[in-house]
Amino acid sequence: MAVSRAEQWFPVATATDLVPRHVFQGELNDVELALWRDDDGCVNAWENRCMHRSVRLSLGVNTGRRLRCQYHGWQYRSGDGQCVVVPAASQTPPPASVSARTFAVAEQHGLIWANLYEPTGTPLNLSEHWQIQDDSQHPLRSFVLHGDAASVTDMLLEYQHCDGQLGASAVSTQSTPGALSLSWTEDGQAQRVVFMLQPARRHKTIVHTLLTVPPTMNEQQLARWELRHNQTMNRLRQRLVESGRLSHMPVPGQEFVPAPPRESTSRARARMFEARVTRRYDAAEGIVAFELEPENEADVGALADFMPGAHIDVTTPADSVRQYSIVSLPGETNASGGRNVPGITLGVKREEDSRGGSIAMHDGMHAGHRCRISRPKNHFRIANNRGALMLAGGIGMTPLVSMAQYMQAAERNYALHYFVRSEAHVAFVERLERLAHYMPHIGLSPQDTEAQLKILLAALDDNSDVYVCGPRPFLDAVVNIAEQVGVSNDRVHFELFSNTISHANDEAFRVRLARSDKELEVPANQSLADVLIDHGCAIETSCEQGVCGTCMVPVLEGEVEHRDVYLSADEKQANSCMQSCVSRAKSSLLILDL
Amino acid sequence: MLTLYDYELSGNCYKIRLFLNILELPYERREIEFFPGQEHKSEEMLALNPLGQLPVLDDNGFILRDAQAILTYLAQQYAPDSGWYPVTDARRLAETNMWLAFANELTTTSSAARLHEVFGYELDVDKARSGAYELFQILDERLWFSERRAGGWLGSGAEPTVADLACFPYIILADEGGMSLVDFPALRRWNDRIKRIPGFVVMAGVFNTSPGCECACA
Repeated sequence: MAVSRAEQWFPVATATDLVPRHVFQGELNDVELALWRDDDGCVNAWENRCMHRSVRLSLGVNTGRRLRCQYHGWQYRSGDGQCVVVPAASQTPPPASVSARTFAVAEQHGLIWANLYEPTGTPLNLSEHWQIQDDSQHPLRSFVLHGDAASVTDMLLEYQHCDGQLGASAVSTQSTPGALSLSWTEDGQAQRVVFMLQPARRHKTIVHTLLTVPPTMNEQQLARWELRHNQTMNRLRQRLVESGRLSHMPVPGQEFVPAPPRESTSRARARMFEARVTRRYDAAEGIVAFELEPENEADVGALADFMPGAHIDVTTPADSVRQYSIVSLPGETNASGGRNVPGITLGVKREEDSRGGSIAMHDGMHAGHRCRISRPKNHFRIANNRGALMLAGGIGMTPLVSMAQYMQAAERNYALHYFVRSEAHVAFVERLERLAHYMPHIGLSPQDTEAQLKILLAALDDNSDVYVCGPRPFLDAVVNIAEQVGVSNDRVHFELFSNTISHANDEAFRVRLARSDKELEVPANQSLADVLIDHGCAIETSCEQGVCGTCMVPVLEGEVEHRDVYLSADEKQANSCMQSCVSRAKSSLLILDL
Repeated sequence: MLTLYDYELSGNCYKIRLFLNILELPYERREIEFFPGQEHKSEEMLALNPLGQLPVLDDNGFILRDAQAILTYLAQQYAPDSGWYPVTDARRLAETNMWLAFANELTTTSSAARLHEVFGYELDVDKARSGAYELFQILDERLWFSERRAGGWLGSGAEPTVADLACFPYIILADEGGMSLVDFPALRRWNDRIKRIPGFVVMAGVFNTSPGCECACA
């Protein structure tokens, strides 16, 4: 009987194997796994390999929220496996495409189950051949047998003869591809053990054993059962090794086997999860605050780990996907949620003239509303250990407020300057009031704003960088003035919420994919990203307006017409990469390293 | 003054450095070049230890060889009430001695395989590994039950003893002897527990782990 991919679930450890702050080395169908539990109790099943130099992640460190590779310190966060820190390149956030290879995982019946073919978040689907019953189960000690699963199933039939008490009693056995159960009556009590087989490698099977525990069984009896099972399995193993049917040593020649391929299209979708609005309130005129927390237990830590400055993707009630910055700090719990689960606060400004996302949010997202969101993404963040002059224009204050709160808590040098239309437009006053180095600039004309920016940037100390967030004219003003007063552009870190691009003069161009030896036409009315995705390239997109950096592709030859605001002027000059959602070609052909 | 005749890459020397650091005892390190210099077989060293082995401890002229003996001496001499060597409890003392002897078994198997792999010693490496795997299985079983019914250490107490430190190096260095701990999960968790003992230090090939979890889940 063929088993579908959705049913490819196997036990990979017992629940008690995954103790806090441990990285458990596991194996399934020749693929090595790093299994670990975060501080919220959520379990991760990843390929046991750092994306950087392929060092085993099980040699690394479980920090509670992240797994840190022992070799160069790359940090991957719990849940989606996204790489959030590359210590040697801390100036820039790791690209969104760098993440640990994650697998579907679940905890049930005292065992940890994984499915190599399905992405994280896929619900557990145990087929009948596991012989799961609903009564109370207790996992006994698991045993490693160096033989394949089919022959191990046969060998386990001898369990009865190795058990001192069972002997010749009438035992009924039931054998299915994944499991073998034994049932019998002892001292008038019905007894049942089920062996569940983990096909670790071709010549290695791990036998997990669930004991059915009657309600009357006490702790002492359970302890006796643990000893009895252990003794029986030792006897069985001894017998099999002595008769030459099993090796007592690992069978040599166990080389690295990569995880099976998976369709890339399911990735981006799987990264969204369900969240609930626990509270909404007016943060200022035209700005609504939304407090969100994960809806389901399985995602409980999904909003816990980000760096100040992060945003999330939100599926709005109009079914569009929009990016909103997080104004809160990592680890904040929403009092209104009542669950003590890490949540986030967003600030959304109503933009009457925009594409409609903010209007849908304002009109359709009420307390209790459920929506699909992404985990936090960090395109914008504190880039180094220097001081920070933060310049916020209007709603651009949201990521900067999170950063300023962080800098204050870390006792680092910072100042937040908030350029805002009127007193009534000042958002999140309660957070601003707690900042020691906060200065509002209310109702300034464009000329006065520029004059004020000039004063601030001219006075910038050598040990600080500039962080800017706001509308395009504000950002342009800061970048220009910084250049005038001699602040180099690598000291100016910015995030723009939208990018205005004209498509009036778009022309078709061709791209050659060097690695796959394909040549494609990008028509005038389509983006490069869309064409690449249509032809099966695993490109992810997020903002689709050249702001976020998600869809970056490497360029080998040809001249790029950069239209994004993600790359710095120097990076654009280098012509070695481009944002495929908006940027096009000046030359008739681009050669990409894809 | 304590003087340790020491070799950086020796697991038996490492366990002494580890314990000295845990007890916060200052000591002088005398680096003896085991490989390739063979200084442990020099006349000077043979005068201290006729067996020609490292480590050797010199405590103001009191000369002691054998890593396990040195551990018990340091515990009893410098931390008698600490529980590291539980001399007042006959059973726990006996357990400790039992696992100290087990550490010697690890030296003749797991350490031997590493000597072959790392230093090119000629010996029957398959036999060494096979013997080591049998010992790993015994340790893993003991630790699985200890996690459930005791403190997760080799002995039955709530705290580790010198026996845990004595067995640790040639477990954590198994990889260098061409052996994997993948089949011994309880052993790997015990490695983490050892690494969280205050005063823990690493050697080449041994890495730190994260601090334990302070939240309720621990």
